[in-house]
Amino acid sequence: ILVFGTYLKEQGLLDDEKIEAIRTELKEEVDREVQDAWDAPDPTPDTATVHVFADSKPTGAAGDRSNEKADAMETTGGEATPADAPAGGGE
Amino acid sequence: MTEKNVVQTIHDTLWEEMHADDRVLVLGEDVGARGGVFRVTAGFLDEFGEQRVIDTPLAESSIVGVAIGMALDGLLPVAEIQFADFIHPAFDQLVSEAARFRYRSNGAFGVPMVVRAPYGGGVHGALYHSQSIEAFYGHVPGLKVVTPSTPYDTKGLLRAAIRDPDPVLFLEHKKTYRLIKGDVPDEPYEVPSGKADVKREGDDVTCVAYGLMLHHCLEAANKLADEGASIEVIDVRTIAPLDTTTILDSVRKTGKAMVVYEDNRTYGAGAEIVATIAEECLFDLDGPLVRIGGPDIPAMPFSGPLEHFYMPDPEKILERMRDLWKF
Repeated sequence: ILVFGTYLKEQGLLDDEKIEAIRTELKEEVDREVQDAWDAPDPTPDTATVHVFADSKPTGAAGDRSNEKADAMETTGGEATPADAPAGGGE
Repeated sequence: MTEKNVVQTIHDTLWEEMHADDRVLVLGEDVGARGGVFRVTAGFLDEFGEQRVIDTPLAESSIVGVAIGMALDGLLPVAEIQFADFIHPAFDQLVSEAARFRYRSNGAFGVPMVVRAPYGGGVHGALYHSQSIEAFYGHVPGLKVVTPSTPYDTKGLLRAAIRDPDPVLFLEHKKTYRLIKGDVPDEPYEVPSGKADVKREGDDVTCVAYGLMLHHCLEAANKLADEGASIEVIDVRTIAPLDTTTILDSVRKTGKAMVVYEDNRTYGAGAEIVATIAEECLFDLDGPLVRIGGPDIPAMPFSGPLEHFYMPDPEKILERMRDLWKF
């Protein structure tokens, strides 16, 4: 990251002010997400065995090979976004 | 005799062994300037110098591979894997090289190496700082897998491991590090690997465990004594080679057996122990064999309720112990 940042500065694409703004923005985002996680209710013990394999519910998470998303896109005409994936379905 | 916790005992034993023999050295991530993340090697760099206290890159395969080379060349390395969860990149070095060296060289070369690794959960360590790994390596002939539960056994087994002509995987349950205290003789002594220990004598039920679970089982056995039960608790101490004699002798006496381990239940070390009892003691048994292990999920969750769901604890053990006793 440091090397790439230096390179971008040398190319005139970034300066210290912009780098600091990016840092601040990212820190705020990380802090917000961490706080959201702490504020979220504790999961119940019965969820401990979910997501060992794809047959765990709910479906639609990353790695799902069913056609439910594609079917939904066809019927709504919209685009599937990351927000469609349930929590815990990240990559 | 001095009262110590487990982590202090490891520190002191390594310290004594490095003073006793110049061939003994330590290597691993942060073992030098940092003194180890659990402070096991605190002060070692100043005392023994950077030739014998070696900070390594974050490369577990290299840590074990380098230790194998050192051992083959006459040194007695004690490699530290910072958390047992990180040992998997070194699987090939341990299984394909260290464990097989003596056999494949027709006895010409041995690998007198110790690999220490803190393992186990219940410390809110989440997926990558809570794993139990003993079953992977207990399966491999040529490796000794040791799991002390008390400060006394820790000193004796570590000293024996450093003197062992073959590779020893020395597994330290990290929750016992500061939780478990006990008297440790000041003079040197060894506890040989491959010997289980009866930590509590009893006549009604045999309970077999190791690591943190040993202490949970003792707690459950003591509570059940108030109800009149006499529970024998055996500390396996060495996963491989397993001391089947001590376990089977106890089961023949009590007629009932349960095994408790924290690792995933399926194919865990407890499965081997239960299978051995079933093979050898079927007609001595007066009740079903009981096996308590962690659930078959990929890792220990971070969340408190889910970690509690994962870990066998004295209450869960007591319930099953009582059922078996009354069977």
